[in-house]
Amino acid sequence: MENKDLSIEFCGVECENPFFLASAPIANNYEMIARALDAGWGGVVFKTVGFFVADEVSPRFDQIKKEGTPFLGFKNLEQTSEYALEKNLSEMKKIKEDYPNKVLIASIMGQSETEWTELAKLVTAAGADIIECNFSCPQMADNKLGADVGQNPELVKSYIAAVVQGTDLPVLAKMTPNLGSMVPPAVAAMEAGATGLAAINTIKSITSVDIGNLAPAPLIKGKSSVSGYSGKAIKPIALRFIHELASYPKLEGVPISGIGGIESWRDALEFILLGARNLQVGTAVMQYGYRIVEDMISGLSHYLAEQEVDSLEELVGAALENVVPANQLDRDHIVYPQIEQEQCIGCGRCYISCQDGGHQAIGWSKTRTPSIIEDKCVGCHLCAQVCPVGVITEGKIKAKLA
Amino acid sequence: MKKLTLDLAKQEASKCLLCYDAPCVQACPANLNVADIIRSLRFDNLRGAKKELIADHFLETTCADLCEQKKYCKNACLRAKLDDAVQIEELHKFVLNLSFQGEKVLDNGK
Repeated sequence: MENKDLSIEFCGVECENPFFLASAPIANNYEMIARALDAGWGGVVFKTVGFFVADEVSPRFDQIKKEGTPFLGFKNLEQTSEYALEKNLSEMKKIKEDYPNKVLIASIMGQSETEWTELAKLVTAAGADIIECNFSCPQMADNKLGADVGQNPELVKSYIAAVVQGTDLPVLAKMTPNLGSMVPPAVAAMEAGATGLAAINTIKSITSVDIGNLAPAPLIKGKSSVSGYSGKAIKPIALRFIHELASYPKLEGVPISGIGGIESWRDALEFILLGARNLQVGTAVMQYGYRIVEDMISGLSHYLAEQEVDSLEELVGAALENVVPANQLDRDHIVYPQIEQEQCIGCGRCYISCQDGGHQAIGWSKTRTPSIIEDKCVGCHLCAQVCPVGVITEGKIKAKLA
Repeated sequence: MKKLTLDLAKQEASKCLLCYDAPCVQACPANLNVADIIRSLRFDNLRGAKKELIADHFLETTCADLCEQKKYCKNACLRAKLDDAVQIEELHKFVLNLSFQGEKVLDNGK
């Protein structure tokens, strides 16, 4: 496998690659984390610790499938660490002793300013490289914890200030996506002394309702709760928030750890291009295991070699200038779709979608051949989206009549 | 081929391109609307799929077997131009064997 130098600095800490385990069931103890680091992960966010010890439900997961593809989206009711704080701290210490060149991020969650300060002191003493403040777990059983903290800039500010008091380590604020704009709590975190931001945590969700039992899944003695949604399905929402943070002038240059639906090197690169310089993976590891990092490292290495890019650093935020408000997009031209007739198999899906979801601009012949009717076509390219063969491409461009 | 489970049947049904004016239906000498039956399977309407199959044809319980040698529908399947034809006869047998217990789907008919 290709293995280029993927090292990148994050919050002042040198990382051998940007791929980290997210604070999740996948980073629950020393033994799991050691195996992940051996597999090639650059670092790990140890599953959130606090004075609160989680007492979990069973079962605790659900998923969204579509047409035989499982795990498009994943719902999780698990809270923070189920182990006592002392055990977690001693395991963190052992990780740093055994893996001094890997990066350990300690995720913490307190219930008061005093607790946040105390936790910061404890994980600093345990040898963590960075602290991540979990302001955003949607399924905490106690109201003082969890997602709603991250919606409140004042609380974020006071808790970050409390953490900074207890440590000299870089501090990350992990943001909730369960709000309209992430900017106010992000700015509050930075003003209070945070070093960087991590986004996104899971999205509050009900993935499905069991129609036999009249309750959402998973059923826990006939009941269920709203809880966090993750996996590939949330990537578009995560990318939107990464862009929002990275492009906000007051947050310019703030280091961002990108999280949300990353499964492949390509997903990871998309986060980097929108401004992330570190990446966290959770759900994909739950589905496929730690080994997926090998293809992330190799795939990204091949890309760098192919593009003749020497350092990941050069790619951070490289796509940001091409995200513009919708009123700045060109509206003066029509790009007509073009059907590669030799490769068309004549299924007629383009015809159906244009009839029912477009502008009735595709003709259909007895020989099962679709054709574009130019005076009706608006160039929406729904036909290209539905074509199962991918043989509808961009054809000629016409200026709209004034 | 092993008997399909519900998940495998749905996966197989998802291979169907959902053609306009489906060639598989046009090819069937017995006029079985297999495209609609597969679409019902695809969109999770299992009871509908079974009802459609039984209502559509007096040979419903045997035609998948009788047709085994000919496979007119499968030979017309456009998916074969991409990789392999949809296993229409397997889906047919699967739908035939479906039975229900409340909201529970019994995919082996027992």
